[in-house]
Amino acid sequence: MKLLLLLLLLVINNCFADAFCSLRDPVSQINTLYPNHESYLSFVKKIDNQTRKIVQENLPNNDLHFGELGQHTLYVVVEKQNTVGYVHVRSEQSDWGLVEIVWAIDVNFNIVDFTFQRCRSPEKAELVKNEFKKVIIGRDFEQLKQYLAKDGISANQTLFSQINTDSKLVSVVLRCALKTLLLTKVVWHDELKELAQQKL
Amino acid sequence: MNHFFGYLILLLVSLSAPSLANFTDNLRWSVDNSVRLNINNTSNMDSRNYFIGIDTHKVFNDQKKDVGYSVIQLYYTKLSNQVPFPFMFRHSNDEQFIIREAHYNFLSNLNSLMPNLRVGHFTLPFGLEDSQDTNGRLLDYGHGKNLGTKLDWGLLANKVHKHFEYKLSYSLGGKDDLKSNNGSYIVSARISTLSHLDFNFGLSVYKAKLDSQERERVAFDMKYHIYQWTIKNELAFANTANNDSHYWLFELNRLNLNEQWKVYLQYIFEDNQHQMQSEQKLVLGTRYTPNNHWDFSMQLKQQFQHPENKNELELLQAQLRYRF
Repeated sequence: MKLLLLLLLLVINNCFADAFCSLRDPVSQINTLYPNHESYLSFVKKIDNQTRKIVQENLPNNDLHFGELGQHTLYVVVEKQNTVGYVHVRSEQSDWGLVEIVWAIDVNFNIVDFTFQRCRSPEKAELVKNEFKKVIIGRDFEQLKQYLAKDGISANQTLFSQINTDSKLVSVVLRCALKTLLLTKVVWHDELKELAQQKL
Repeated sequence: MNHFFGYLILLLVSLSAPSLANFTDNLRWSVDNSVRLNINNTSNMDSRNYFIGIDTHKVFNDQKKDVGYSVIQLYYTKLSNQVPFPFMFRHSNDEQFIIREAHYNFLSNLNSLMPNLRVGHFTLPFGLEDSQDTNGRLLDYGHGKNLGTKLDWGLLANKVHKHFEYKLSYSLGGKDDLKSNNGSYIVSARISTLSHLDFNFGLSVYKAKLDSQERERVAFDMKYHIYQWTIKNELAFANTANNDSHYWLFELNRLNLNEQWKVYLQYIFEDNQHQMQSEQKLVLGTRYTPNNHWDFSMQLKQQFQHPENKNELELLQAQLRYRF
């Protein structure tokens, strides 16, 4: 009975609007981001209202979509028995509905690459070009935060001056990158620290 | 009720792990409750369905990599005045513990050609349902009606490659029972482009002996997302007990910007060799999801052309669902 109660307590706020059988691992995207990888290791953690507050404190005027709460997976990518990075999927609301981006992050929490899992905007073609990617790739949370305008949600002129597009999608990708780096560091801190000590 | 303890043991065995700490690692677990109201204007009958279930998803790993995952869904289901009632029930007011999905997926090495292997009770890989799960929703793609059963016990090979993905299953044809009935079996397969892409298309084949009938079906399906709109199509050619038929489903749906609202319209055409008149119907529905817990949906099915020996269907359904 105690076990049952414990399990019931564990599930509060852990849910997902759809049945769990609809969950899909981003296998092809991991293959694209890390073509030489051998395997991956999943860590499922809860993103709750407390996490939401951390986002609001570190990124004022930002919030998480309700679909971003609940339990989410960080994939630790393994090559030659070593952790080479992490993969995490985040959604961000845009003028074309939710944009889902698969992020590759290195062990020092810098962006390595990204790919769109879902984006209904025709402007996404501009953002997968190297010109835009090189502005994002290699940056950590603090460096990317420098690209935020005063409103806290738009990209600033420093970023736009380096690229040949004024698409609104640029701000969406920037916000998504910032939230991904912040949440990965905060939510999966203990697991990643333990993993680093274990040395696969 | 007779199988309750068997199902419970299956659930516990399926979720077993070396320790309690490992048991809760990578475990998603939710209580899923819903009530559905069906107003059938054809027969002037109302019915209700009640579902209370446990929905679980657990990833297993060996400290170096993921080795597999399980999905277990066990639901207490109560019918009230449901006519006709599904095959797993004994009468129109029956109640049963129903296993929906209950399978373990063994993961193979990512870069190898070896497929992953799913064992258990799973949704048959065929058509639009394969890339758009409708479990527990009003919206569906006629999987159970078209294939004879939506789920079955068996083995399923599956893999996502760089440019395509596939599933191939062999199952016993016992539907909810873990056995073959009078030589029943089902072979079902779908190969498609990657399901997360904006434009996705697939080819499905199905061959079975089910309910003592030989059944064959081939289908081509596609979906295309643009802005908040999605278009879906499924065109199928079937033969059931030497009776040819063909089927076309077209769907147009739209999500609002934060994706709390969805509206959809389906047109379904079915032409059967043994019927003088083809069947045509429209399904208009909406779904509202204010957060991760609540889900309200409503749909109207209106048949506007039907075979002479059948009555015109007009069915209004509403469902309230709460997951915690």
